[in-house]
Amino acid sequence: MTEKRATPRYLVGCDAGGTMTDVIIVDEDGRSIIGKAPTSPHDESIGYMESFWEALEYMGISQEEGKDFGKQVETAIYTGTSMLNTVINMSGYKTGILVTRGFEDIIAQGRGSQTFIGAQWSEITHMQYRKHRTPLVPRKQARGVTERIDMFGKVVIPIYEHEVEQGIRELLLDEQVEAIAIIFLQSFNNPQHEQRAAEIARRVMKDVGREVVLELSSEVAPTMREISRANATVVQAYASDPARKQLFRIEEELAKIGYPHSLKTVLGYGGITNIRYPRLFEAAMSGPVGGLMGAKYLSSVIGEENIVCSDVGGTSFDAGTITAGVLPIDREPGFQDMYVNVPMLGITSIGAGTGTYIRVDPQTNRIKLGPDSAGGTPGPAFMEAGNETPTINDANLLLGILSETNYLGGKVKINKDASYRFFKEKVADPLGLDVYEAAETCLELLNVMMREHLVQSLMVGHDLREYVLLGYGGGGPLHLLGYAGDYPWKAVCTVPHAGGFSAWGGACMDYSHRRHKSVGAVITPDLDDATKLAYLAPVMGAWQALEAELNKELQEEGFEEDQISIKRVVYMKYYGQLDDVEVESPVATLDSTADMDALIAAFEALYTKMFTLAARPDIGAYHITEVCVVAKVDTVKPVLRTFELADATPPEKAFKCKRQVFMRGKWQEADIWEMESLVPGNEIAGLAVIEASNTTLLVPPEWHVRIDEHDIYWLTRKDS
Amino acid sequence: MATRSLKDQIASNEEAFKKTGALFGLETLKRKETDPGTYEAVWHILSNLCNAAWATGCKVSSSPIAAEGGDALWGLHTPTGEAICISRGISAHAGLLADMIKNFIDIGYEEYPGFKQGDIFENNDPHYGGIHSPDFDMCMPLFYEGELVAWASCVSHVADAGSVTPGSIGFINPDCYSDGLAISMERVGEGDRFYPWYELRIRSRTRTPDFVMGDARGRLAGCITLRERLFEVIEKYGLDLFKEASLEYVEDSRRYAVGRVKTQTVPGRIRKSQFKDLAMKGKRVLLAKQDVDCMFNLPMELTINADASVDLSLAGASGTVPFGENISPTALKSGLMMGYSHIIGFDMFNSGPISAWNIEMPPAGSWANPYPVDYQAASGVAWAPAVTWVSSLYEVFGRLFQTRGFIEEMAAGSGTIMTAEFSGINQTGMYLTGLTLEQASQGSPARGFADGENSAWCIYTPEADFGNAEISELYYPILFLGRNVAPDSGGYGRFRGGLGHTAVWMVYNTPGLEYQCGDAGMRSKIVGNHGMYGAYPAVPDRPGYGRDTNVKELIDAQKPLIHERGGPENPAVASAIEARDVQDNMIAPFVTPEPLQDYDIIVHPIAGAEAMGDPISRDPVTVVSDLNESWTSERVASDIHGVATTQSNGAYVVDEGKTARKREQIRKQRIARALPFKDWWEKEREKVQAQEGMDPAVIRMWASSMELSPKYAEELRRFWNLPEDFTFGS
Repeated sequence: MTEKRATPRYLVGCDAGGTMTDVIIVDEDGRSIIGKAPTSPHDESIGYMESFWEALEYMGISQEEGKDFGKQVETAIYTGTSMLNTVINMSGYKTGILVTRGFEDIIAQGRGSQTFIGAQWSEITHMQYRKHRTPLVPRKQARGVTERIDMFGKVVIPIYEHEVEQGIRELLLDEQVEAIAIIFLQSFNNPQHEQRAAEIARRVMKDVGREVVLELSSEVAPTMREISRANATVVQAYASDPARKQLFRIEEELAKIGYPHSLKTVLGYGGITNIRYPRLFEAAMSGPVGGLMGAKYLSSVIGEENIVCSDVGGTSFDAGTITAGVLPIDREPGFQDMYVNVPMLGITSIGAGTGTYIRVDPQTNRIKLGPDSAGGTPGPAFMEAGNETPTINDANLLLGILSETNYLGGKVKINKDASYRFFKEKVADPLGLDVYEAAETCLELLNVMMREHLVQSLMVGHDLREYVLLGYGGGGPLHLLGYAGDYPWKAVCTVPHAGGFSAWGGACMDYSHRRHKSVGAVITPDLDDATKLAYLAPVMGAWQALEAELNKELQEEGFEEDQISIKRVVYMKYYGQLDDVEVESPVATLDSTADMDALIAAFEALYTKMFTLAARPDIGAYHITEVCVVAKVDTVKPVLRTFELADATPPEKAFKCKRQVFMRGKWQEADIWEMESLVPGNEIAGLAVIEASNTTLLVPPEWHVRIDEHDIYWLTRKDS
Repeated sequence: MATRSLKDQIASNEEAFKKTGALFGLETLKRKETDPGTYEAVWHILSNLCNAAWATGCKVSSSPIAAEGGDALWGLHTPTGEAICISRGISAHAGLLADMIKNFIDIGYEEYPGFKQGDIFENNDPHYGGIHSPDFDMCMPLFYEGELVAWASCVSHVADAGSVTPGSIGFINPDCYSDGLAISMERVGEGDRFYPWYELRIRSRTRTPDFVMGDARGRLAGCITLRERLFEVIEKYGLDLFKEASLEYVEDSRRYAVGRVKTQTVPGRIRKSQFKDLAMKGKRVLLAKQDVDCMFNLPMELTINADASVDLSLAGASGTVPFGENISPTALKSGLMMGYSHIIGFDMFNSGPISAWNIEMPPAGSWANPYPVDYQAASGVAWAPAVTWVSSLYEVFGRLFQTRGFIEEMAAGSGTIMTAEFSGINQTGMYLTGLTLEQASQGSPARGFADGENSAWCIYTPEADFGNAEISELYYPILFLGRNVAPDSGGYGRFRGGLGHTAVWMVYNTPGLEYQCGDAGMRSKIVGNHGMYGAYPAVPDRPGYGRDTNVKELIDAQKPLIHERGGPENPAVASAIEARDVQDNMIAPFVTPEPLQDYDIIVHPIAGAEAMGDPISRDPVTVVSDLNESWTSERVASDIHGVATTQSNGAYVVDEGKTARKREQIRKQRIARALPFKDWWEKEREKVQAQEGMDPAVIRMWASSMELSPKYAEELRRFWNLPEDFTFGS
């Protein structure tokens, strides 16, 4: 994309969400067009291609004209839910597990906290709501093997090989499994037993003439916490191949229009890889990643290294932070009511979006927002598709913020009267409020929920004054200034293609792989420096081993060693604590006291910032629990164009009309603008509504918007 | 106008409640009615503040109990102490923290030395409302522009509080002096810092001071976080709104609870009688007076009045015990408040719901109100018997909900709680004592529409979880040999109780390990409940261990080891290994007679929960499903559920014809052994009057119950038609 060719070249990104699939086509100049279509979980290629054709249509290219368009596509990337759908639909391989004897129930029993992942406190205290998910591996498909390795990696009970042989035989012949996961305790400290069991398993497979998928927890997720490691390994065994088949379907459809390359997919920790990548479970939670990676790329271009990323979709509000240009990693995220040792970008979500249901509790007369939502189907009440419970977008419509004629670019006909009728009956009347007051009240409550999620949950330990708040997602610009509130953000901004920003972000990622490894390095103040360095040797050892592994992997995928850049990370805590913090090492080696001191200083600075000085124990004992290496290869990304700035006054054609908008308890006249006709340099003062085909930006009266040279919309208070 | 003292405000609040029936005299909820959106928004914000404090505090805390088990809580309170809202975590303490703040006001700290910003107050002393010494309760007054506008509070459970035996489950403590370090309503710091003496005392008086201090720092960091964020809220929404709305949240919550009682239950009187054993005779104890078996009487009578107010009587509780199971009324009330939150007050949990209750507390001198009579009573594990009353609340309200057709809200009784606590040198060579998290994830009670869930509930914390075995091995010198679902560990019924699990540990890499099988609500000689609507109760807690074993030889010979408890016919310790001391069916609680050594074995079962409905009405398909998961046995399927099976492709399937016949046969057997109630009553009456076959512990229990609660005694005599002067033990 850096060099112009006679035939234009394109990047095609995709974000397949729970409701809609967005496909974004980006040209060499950084211009982008987004298509949208309902997600089709049974065959994701359908939603993908419908969305793709819609984007082409916006480009003025018909299906007939676009039948060879794939030849012009440089890279096509998929971000989405194929793994997720395989797990939700229970359509993966029949999987058996071989586990340390006595742990045969590890999947079926799970752990208590998996029954309330993401639940609200009122749900957690309500015992009748408890429900374990249907296990991906029922107990019947589990076999135990007597063996034990201790926390130092020492073999205490040598593996009973005859039990391995018997267990594998039974899984293959009696249970007819299609995949086997081997999960032994402490295997992350010493994989010897798992590897031996795998050797036996392969021999038995040969003997009985059945080859099945075989995964080892020490290879899939070599980190501490056996339940999460088991879940991760089972997801890899159960879902990777079936999900890959969905991706191959998309690749096939793209090949039909001439796309000559392999489809790429997005890994949960931010990075792209070929869909043939063996560790596809790392892509299980790639859905919300695109937005964060897009924001990270944006941050590097605009020179802002601290960004709060906020994505308002139809069903959820997803948020993450970029601090000093670095995205935090969650090493044990919840996935489909399981904890998994799969690194994922630190994204937290609440059930709050534009489709969120609004109800009034008949007993307490209190407003209840969600956490469930109407999604794309049946959608808000104004869609008249069977939903009679008002949603947030019904409120937006009633208040004049959304246009009756511009919903989804005007392609969908909606009925404001339906919103009014149901809102009055179900919300306003029970509250004893006027319909419009009630609608504004509900919007403000949603904004508070989102704001609190950002400020109290996400931003613990961070100073808001150092962060730019970026809003995106179809509903992002609509609610951005509501949830920005009057908190002292450094700046607030959004992008014109907010509805497709996550898809765009998918095209912004580097080719990147990441590996974690548990270690146990403790240094205490009574040790001399030489001993401390000796105790840190396992950290160095693990860094080197992981680095070699990643280098090899990426070189096998066709990259040269000098293209690969390496980042080293430790997870560190004060000795005795359970929770550690992620520290990017400022040094590449731990060979000297100066190296060690630099690492400790980086940890202490971060810890104090996160948890207050009062929390810092003055004990001088530190514990490194885990190390990580990230290997990255820069890839071609969409160009973020630099435009010449036009006048502050928008072009005449951008002005659509004036409309009454209900705000602060009264009807006020708002200027309505067409986003597609605005150009960099333009400025608009609130009260205004800026409409695009995939989003709507609300600018309240006290706010002002300026479009910069990158087409980014900066929102500032008029009085600032 | 001079500011009224907090003590005066408490008095006038009580007066206003008496007069109006509304907390703080709030007959109308002005803020809610005039601005429901802001009211709701601020509630949401305050709840989030508490959760932000929890997240910060748990990360800073050292102990696995707080950080991995979430056994901590932060709260925000009115100036007079009522909890406005709390964080996630161990909600059992919400009421206790509220009462602690009131107590600080009541005993005169406001006058001297006074309250100021940055003050840190603590209590863990049961004499002043603490539950047991390892639970450190903290509060800090929050001053905004010079005015005390709220309190931040926190509790966290430390690994060791210096009681006479290591750990935090001090069931064996003979008196309060053995309960360990006492922080008795003290100011322990100023200016957001602990006093130097505080750490010195922790260092000299607890066995794991680094962990205990880490938890203290976690409590403090959470409270400071809460304070700083609260002031931002006040800046934004105004002090008046905060002050008014925070009172309304408490009253609104009371109304919510009353509303649920009104719409989902029926007026009337309902009783639940439960008992608990503590068999210590002949075991390793500390003082001669402890060589005794004890029984606890836990009667409950609940009356729903026509106006939906709730009267709860706990009269009839038996006398104190020379062990750590005595509890203060304040702590008891807090536990009941938590139980109420599990069944009634899910939504806006604070001090509101419990204030709608009129509670007749257990009599002075009982185990649940010991100090007026026995000031030296120990409270090392005060909640052990008391949680039974919470379980009774589940069942009582389950029945009430059923009467109105709300079967989806029904729950049978909770499981019993037996803990495992270790002390000794761990695998890194460090001395460690502490509680494992096994008991924090039991089966959940059967519901009115479905089985309970396996390993998914814990009566003392809704954040039920046992964590990862690999984390436990970091702390304790053990290797897990098993952690599977324990078959048939839940009660049997139409809907069975959720199943518990069995931890099997091999002692490893230590010069010696003390295993304390603790009482945190266990039953070992009697069952924990009586089953609901014809269900059979869950099995009692019976751990096992093997000392000086042949496990190393078995390993070397690649022979089978031990990975489960085994059924009653084939207990695993005896059948799988050889040992100098084989204990397959131990009566809990106990401390091992001498430290365990490498390759010794511990089998520690965790309870399932109670069931609902007749076991022979259970859907045979679910019985077979359990069989195929190895979660029940053929014997139970056949003899208890009356389900006959055959095998097909290696799996069990229902034999419908034989099942129908088997169930009919069970019904006939039942009829054959049934008696008319009057006949049964007459037979039993003779036994009662003759005190026939009664264990001395049972006789002592009844005697003390009758002595301490004369009205209860009178009714007991009336029911059994006993002479007016009848007493047990006479």
